[in-house]
Amino acid sequence: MSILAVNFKHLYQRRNLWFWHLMILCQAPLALLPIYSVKGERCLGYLLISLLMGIMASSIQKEVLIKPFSFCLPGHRQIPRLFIFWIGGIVNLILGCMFLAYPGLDVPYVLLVVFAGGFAGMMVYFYGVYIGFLELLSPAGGIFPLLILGAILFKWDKVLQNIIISQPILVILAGGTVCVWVWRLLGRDFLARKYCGKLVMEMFDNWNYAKAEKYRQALADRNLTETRAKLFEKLQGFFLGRMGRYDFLSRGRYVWGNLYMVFGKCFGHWRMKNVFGGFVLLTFFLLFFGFAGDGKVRMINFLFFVPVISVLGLDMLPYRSLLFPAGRNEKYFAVLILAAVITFAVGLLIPVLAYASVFLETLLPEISFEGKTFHYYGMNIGRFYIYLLLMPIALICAAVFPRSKWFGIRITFAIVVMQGWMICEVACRQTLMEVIGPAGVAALIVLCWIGFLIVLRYICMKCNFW
Amino acid sequence: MTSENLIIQIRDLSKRFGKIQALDKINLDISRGQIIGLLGANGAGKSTLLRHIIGLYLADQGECLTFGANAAKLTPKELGKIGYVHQEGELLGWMTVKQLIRYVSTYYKNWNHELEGKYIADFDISLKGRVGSLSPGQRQQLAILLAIGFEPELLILDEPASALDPIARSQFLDLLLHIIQDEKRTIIISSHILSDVEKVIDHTLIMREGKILRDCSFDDLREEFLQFTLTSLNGRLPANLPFQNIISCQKNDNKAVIIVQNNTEEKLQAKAKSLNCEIQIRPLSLEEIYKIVVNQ
Repeated sequence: MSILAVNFKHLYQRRNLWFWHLMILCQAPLALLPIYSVKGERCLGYLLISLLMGIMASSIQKEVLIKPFSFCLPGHRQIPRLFIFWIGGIVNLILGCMFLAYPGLDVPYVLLVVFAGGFAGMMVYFYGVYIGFLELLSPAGGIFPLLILGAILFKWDKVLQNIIISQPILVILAGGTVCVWVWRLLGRDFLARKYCGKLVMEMFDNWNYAKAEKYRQALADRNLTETRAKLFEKLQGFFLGRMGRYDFLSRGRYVWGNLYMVFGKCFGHWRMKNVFGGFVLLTFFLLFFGFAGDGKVRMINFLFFVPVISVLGLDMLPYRSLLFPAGRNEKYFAVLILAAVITFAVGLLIPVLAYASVFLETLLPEISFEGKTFHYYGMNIGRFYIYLLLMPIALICAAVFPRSKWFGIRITFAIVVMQGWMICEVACRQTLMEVIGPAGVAALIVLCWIGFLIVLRYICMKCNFW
Repeated sequence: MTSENLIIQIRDLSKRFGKIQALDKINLDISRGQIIGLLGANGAGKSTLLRHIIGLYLADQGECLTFGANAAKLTPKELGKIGYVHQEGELLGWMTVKQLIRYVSTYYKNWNHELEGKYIADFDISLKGRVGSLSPGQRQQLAILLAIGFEPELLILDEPASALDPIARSQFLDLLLHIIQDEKRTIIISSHILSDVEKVIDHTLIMREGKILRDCSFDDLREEFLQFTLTSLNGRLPANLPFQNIISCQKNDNKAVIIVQNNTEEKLQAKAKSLNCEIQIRPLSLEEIYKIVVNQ
């Protein structure tokens, strides 16, 4: 079996990629629907698939290049180029066939357009390759949502489509030139040298909790300045001081110790870039979702999910293998306190976001675009019950799937619950409060929290600690 | 052996993980002051047994009493007397070494700062570095320090020296020899490096497939197996050698190297004399004994 063929095996052998395939498959309607719904007027939905395929192909190769043995393997340094071009060529040639459905094109000419569409796909595919070869959260990755936004609002995809249809040879020439350039670029050794043995996070590594931890650790070490070291000392001083207020071997001492283990870890990996990134992301969500939806279904209420999702990353019973003088009862009690503190602390974010959105509602004007009017709607703080309802479910998820191997399940849970909720709201156009009433919602919240207590008690008292 | 002297009592302890019977009706008594070598191949059930003793795992059947209390319901009072080095234990990687030591020491009233200082100096552990950035060997050294810093009554070491280099291993051994001077302390060491273990243990537990094959003092085990070289003084050795319980025999015309079980040196010497042979007897190393016991 050739080295290239072995590389192709990644596509079906790696479980993390299955999720990626599913994500790409979910884009298929986006690529196909326009053909049938508006008679081929917009054919370029497939470019999103090209982009995702580009990210996937380069991410796979990046992971292979990171392994030191691949650098030494004879002939392997040329494999990324072959791998990327094989996938890109086949995928984009197939996707270019979307233009066969475009009305009014003659048979010989439509073939040119199909090739032009394929080369246009290749160019977007190479952009995906570029994103994939960079680390996550790079500025290039940030352009991605802007491109989608641009396609929706400014319909640039239609402009590109017109160029492909009217000037296919020009597009083929441009695409061919880009292909030659990328072919030569990827043929150099620099990629292999750059990534060999380097600890970098990959698209699929977000599922690999152990590697993510190692990566975070390495980043945190790089940023351990004198000031930060002093800050951590003070943080420790605070928690150890609280521990010291209780007797040795007492429950209180362990409760504070456990709080330190969980919260200290968050601060231990704290980076200014992450804080800034989080702030930018929340601001983007506030602006984007505020204009999405209408007065009845406010998409901005999605922000009630954000604090809940953040809880999914927690390990509530961390470092089980470290033997502290705390029995199962103490552990149960400590996690209960931790859950209460987290619910309160993370919940504080909601009023902040809600009032910010309400403030923006008064501030931002209506936007009219191509006959449509977009009005900004703030969060409905009255729907705080979403948070209270989902929080115990998220805590159950974090408690039941605590360790690295379950990290993917947590993320899937977040996606499923969030999308499920939003689809229900959009489809039913009724809130849960309207359906079951305040008493029903209150009962549901109580039930969820009782469920959490029961599950936690079972885990702490009746399960093995790994 | 009085029951007050027993700190661990295990009765019919069984544990199954899916199709694997990790522990199969284990019965075991461990008394105060014993230093036990827990030996067995990978997957023999050593770590599972140790995790039952400290209550991390719960038994499917049977019971395990640690310091007289059900191991599944150990309270801080009992757990405060147990030091444990986990085979692949995670430490709090985001803390610096100094912070971690300070944090763990906050839990214990009798933390020995003198021992801590000595150990840090001996092992040359950097206090400023992050725990997560330490090499596996350094991390294991730190884990050992955290387990012994409060001078526990029961010290459980699950593969403590597996990641240590030869020099660190020798230092660890010195430290262990220092620790065992306290006659009241009980230590259970699970290790594959038998040459190290045999220097400190006084009791052996050999496990295979979730069962205890041997539970006896190390001296008894050493007396049970003997190797001797028999050299004929007048030509050829007889075809059938008159020794009982021969485990292995490598023989040529006038010389034989034999391992026997349940024989005394006196008996062997008497028989060698009757055969007009010269005999050289030597006890077997723990590694040699272990191989014999496991293969029997």
